[in-house]
Amino acid sequence: MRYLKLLTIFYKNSILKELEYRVNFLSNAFMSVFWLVWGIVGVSIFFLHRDTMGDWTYPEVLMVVGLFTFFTGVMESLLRPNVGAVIEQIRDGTFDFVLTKPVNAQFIASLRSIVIWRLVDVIIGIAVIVYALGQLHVTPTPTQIGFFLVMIASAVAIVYSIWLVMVSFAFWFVKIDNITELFYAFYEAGRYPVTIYRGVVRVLLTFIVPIAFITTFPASALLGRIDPTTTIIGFVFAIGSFIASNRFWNFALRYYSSASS
Amino acid sequence: MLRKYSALLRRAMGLMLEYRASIVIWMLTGVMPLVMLAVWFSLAEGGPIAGYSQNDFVSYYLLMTLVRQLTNVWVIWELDYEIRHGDLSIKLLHPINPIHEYIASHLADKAFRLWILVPLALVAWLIFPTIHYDVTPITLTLFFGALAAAWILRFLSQYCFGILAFWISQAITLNEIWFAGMLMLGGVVAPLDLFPDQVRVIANYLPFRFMLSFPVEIVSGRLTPTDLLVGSIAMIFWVAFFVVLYRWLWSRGIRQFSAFGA
Repeated sequence: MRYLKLLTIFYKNSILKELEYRVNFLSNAFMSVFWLVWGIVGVSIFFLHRDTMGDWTYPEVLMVVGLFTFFTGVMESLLRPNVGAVIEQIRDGTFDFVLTKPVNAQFIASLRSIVIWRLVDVIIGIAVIVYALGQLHVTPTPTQIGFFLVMIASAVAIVYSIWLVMVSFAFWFVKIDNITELFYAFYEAGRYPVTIYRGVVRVLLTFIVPIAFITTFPASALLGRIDPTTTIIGFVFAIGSFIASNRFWNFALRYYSSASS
Repeated sequence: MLRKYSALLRRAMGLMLEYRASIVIWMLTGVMPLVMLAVWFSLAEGGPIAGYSQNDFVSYYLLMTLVRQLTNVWVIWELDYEIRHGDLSIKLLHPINPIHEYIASHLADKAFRLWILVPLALVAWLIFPTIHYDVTPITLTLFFGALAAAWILRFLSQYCFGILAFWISQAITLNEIWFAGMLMLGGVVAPLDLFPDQVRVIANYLPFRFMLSFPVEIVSGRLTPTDLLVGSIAMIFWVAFFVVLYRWLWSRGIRQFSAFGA
């Protein structure tokens, strides 16, 4: 409860700061729509030549594209701004102030700032998912919606864990912008359903860089393409990554040497 | 000029070697052609797509990966930062145009990348022994010429966007649009042959093709001698175009810079 109240204060604070840069809103909104259209054009090229992509039809793949955009927004608005802040704090030693606060350091370090402009991606992502459902003429059953929400929650936890691990690397390398870029390079593979990939690549994208859990599995849940076992595996996997990333963060924290020492 | 360049290159090489690990990570961020290869490879399981068999896709995208690695540019990030923070004024005091320092650091990066990519290319060849390229003295010469032109085009076009930072704060965003255009119409998302005819006819003459796709097309064996000739002329035109554009923008930008800098 206390943490929820803190989060509200944090977000109110960042939003007020962001409101000073309103021009950013226009250019961000434009780029969000631009990349979405770019992604849809890309998918359309596959469907010029084939009717399905790894057993997924065009509107079904659109749903994956929608989830891809949705999670881009989640990462860019809620997670990425904090990575930048932590790097800066580690470099100039002000991370001391984070550690001495009577609140969990991981909580402050990973959730302190928000860039509201990038929530545009979240909104247009949802719009694409709804549009794709309309094209498919399906109304998901309550069970499917339930599975979908579980998979979305798991995906959020997985995405959070990945970013926490990346932030943790900053204690050793300080300059980690290339690590986040590396993640985005792999995230590109999440524009398409994971069933399109074969062999090693699919295993890699499911368990090593778990992009399948972020874009493909929530879409499968909504389409009723997923069995309860997979949902449970996804949920357990999410909890596992959350715990593992928290351990890793605590381990990395030991390597923080304040700027003055 | 040659002596100045060798000094610049030596310095850039030293810097690069210090950031080896970071360059390897940056190299890994260029995996997108391999992702597209994985997609097209399984789409082509049921038979060739527009004349591309699975093996053709492998040949195409492995070389595309190599071309992308060897033509990679990042100059706008430095140029934009240095213009907005005023650091550029120090470089302007040097007895050499700042572009040469940037060129030297990019060349050093390419030398380092080549050193990693050659063994990797051999490994790729062992894994996919069936890949094939149309290698004749003519196509090979054209390939290296087009590869150099591709790098020049990517560098100069990005440099021109960087110069816009003298006037606007969104130079990097404009460059992002340009970059997206290159991924789409430069043959990364799909070989240009797979686009609808109306799009391909136009894309064949746009600069994006010559920033990535053209060197790969040259050794693919799919271009007729006429295609090669017309393509080369268009390529030379775009290089000349960006050289002129760069000179014009730079002289305007510098005047603007000293106007508010002094």
